[in-house]
Amino acid sequence: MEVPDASGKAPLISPSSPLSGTADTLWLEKYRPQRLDDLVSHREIIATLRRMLANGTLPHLLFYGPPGTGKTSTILACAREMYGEHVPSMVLELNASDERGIDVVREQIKTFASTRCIFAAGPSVKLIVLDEADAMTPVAQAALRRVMEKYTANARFCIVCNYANKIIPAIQSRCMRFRFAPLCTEDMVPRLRQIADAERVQVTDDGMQALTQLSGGDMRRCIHVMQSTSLAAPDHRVTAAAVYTNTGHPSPQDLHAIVEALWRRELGDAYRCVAELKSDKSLALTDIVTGVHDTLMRTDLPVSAKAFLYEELANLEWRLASATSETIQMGALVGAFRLAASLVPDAPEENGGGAGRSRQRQRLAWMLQRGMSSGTRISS
Amino acid sequence: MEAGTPWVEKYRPRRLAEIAQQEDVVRTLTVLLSAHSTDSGQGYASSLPHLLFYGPPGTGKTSTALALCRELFGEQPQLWRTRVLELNASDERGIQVVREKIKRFAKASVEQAGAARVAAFKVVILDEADNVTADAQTALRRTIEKYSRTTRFILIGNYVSRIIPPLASRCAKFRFRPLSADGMKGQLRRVAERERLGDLDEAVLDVLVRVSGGDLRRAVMALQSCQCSAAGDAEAVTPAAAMEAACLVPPPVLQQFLDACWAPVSPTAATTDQATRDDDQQTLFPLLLQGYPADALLQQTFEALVLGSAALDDGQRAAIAIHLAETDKCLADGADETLQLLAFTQCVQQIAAAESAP
Repeated sequence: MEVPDASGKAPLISPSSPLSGTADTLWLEKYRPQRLDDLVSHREIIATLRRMLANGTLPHLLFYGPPGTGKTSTILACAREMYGEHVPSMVLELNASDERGIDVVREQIKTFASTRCIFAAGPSVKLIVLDEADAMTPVAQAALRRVMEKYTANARFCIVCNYANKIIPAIQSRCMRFRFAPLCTEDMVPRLRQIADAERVQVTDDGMQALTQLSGGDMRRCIHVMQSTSLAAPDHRVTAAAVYTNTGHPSPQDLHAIVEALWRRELGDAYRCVAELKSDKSLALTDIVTGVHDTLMRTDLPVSAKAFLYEELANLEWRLASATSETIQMGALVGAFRLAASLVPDAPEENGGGAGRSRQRQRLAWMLQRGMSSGTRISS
Repeated sequence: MEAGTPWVEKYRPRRLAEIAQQEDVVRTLTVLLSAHSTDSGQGYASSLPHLLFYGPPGTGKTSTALALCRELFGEQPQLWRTRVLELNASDERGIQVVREKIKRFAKASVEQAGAARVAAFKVVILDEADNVTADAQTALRRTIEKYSRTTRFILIGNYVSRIIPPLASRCAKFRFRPLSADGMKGQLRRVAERERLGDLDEAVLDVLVRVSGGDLRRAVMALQSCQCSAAGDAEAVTPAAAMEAACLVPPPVLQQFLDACWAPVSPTAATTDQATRDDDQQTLFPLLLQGYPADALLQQTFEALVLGSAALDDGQRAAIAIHLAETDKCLADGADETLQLLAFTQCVQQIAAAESAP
């Protein structure tokens, strides 16, 4: 520990305090898979790795996939199987929090890779894990090329990243690529149950569903959310409501109410309804927009309306990405829905417009989509 | 406190007990402060976790954080200098700052202050933490964890979903509810009383509450600039003055702009069209020269045209709402105000004309 405790007293927070934030209280670290057998998903990848480990024919590896799918855990488990207690001397792990410019490649990595372990009982090749490698500069990656080839006899590289296309082609072609897909619910649930049982936390079925749905196949996020929800919830029960409150995301019920209001109610009404819900639950408009998008896919609205809405929602999301006013953008959300509703001939309308009216509306929407720039469109 | 201090600072709650309308938050924090302080011998407030405050602007998040620090360290300025690091969006907060400034502060050991009711740790207040890039938040993760013995973090943001989960899960979360209109009026009256503004007109209060949208800071700010322009004359504090003070476009000017939007277009007669365009120019340019901000204008146009207008039907208002949003985006990206507003008036005219055509 580099921070000496000035007073020499007992630590300020007892390690047992749930929020002290030390590594052993984070479930994520506590339940990180230690061996290849502990990994719950990606069985093909693991089987392939096992075969290669057994033959001693491990190539350079490139692991890519979204966050929380077990890339780092897999390679670390591999390392543990390969080296056992020798891991510290045989494995060099560098991640984004370390400097990884060209200097590091030239010096640290090269020094590590160019030396050979002479008294190894197990495999004699070393392992260099470059975590979050898509954050490395192309120059640094380029410098890595020759190092990888030259020291193949001494060391294997494992490049871990989210986006394979951010790794230069020259490195990609030197590695065997493995894609880590988002975890499916069936793989996640048993593991989450296991953790919940070990921590004596009660997770209801709808809570579990909310967890997996919210995480989108990201196991790390799932475990984090489960831990923080169980701490924040008054009776330490993880229910769907607690999960959504805790993460500040709109719940499916909220989203359903929003879509319902947007689709059925008159513009001003719909706006007030959404605004009220938004301020009541402190929701961010971006989350509402993405949530509405998901909800929309599951509704049975007419295809024409949906197509129009998807485009408008995408535009809205893009506008929200820069510093725009939330009120005005929310107005556009309501507006998009009203226009979409009017595209449908028998859509609910207050003043019951006829067929001519709905044709007008269609043209209006059409004009809108084409940017309303020239005066030529008004030819009526 | 000197006379020139903004009221927002002058009447900022100084103790936790003074925080208005956030009873749940205050109660929990008070409990956390008192727990362990006597029996376990671990030092004052040692069981305080990292905190995450979130909620709409102007609901007292920063005030609560500062009041909490006051409870922890008392009022001595030199203690504050070494114990509290406050960073907000105006400071540089990229990954570099997290790696260097915050880390250096968090790392330093804490010297004993001697007094019994002084917490033996430091506090980093990260205001508007939801604007910190995800990369920087990731880098912060390790720092928070590693130095939690000597440093507590208070993260403040509008939306909890913008804080990355690994960070959010390390903090105890507190949600700040939007202030009710009555509660805001009460606070404004209290300020007015202390500033000897006399009895504020209910209509003025209504305007202040409406323009601030639940943001007490903005309301107090507007009240002060109101008082400044009134120059001690209590009679001069009128609803119109309040609107002016809140940087809103006054109704007559807004009406001018709306008229420009409404001017009927006859697409067949090019000359009329030309004339309308000239009219628009004339309406708009004084508007811009008077210095009214385009975003306030858009906001008010939104309220007037989309939410309030009876002359337009649902579809027209919907189309206008989307155009407003697009104009808003263009302005946010740094487009020219005159061109954008002109284009907007033209769009509204076309929409109005398209619908009224047979």
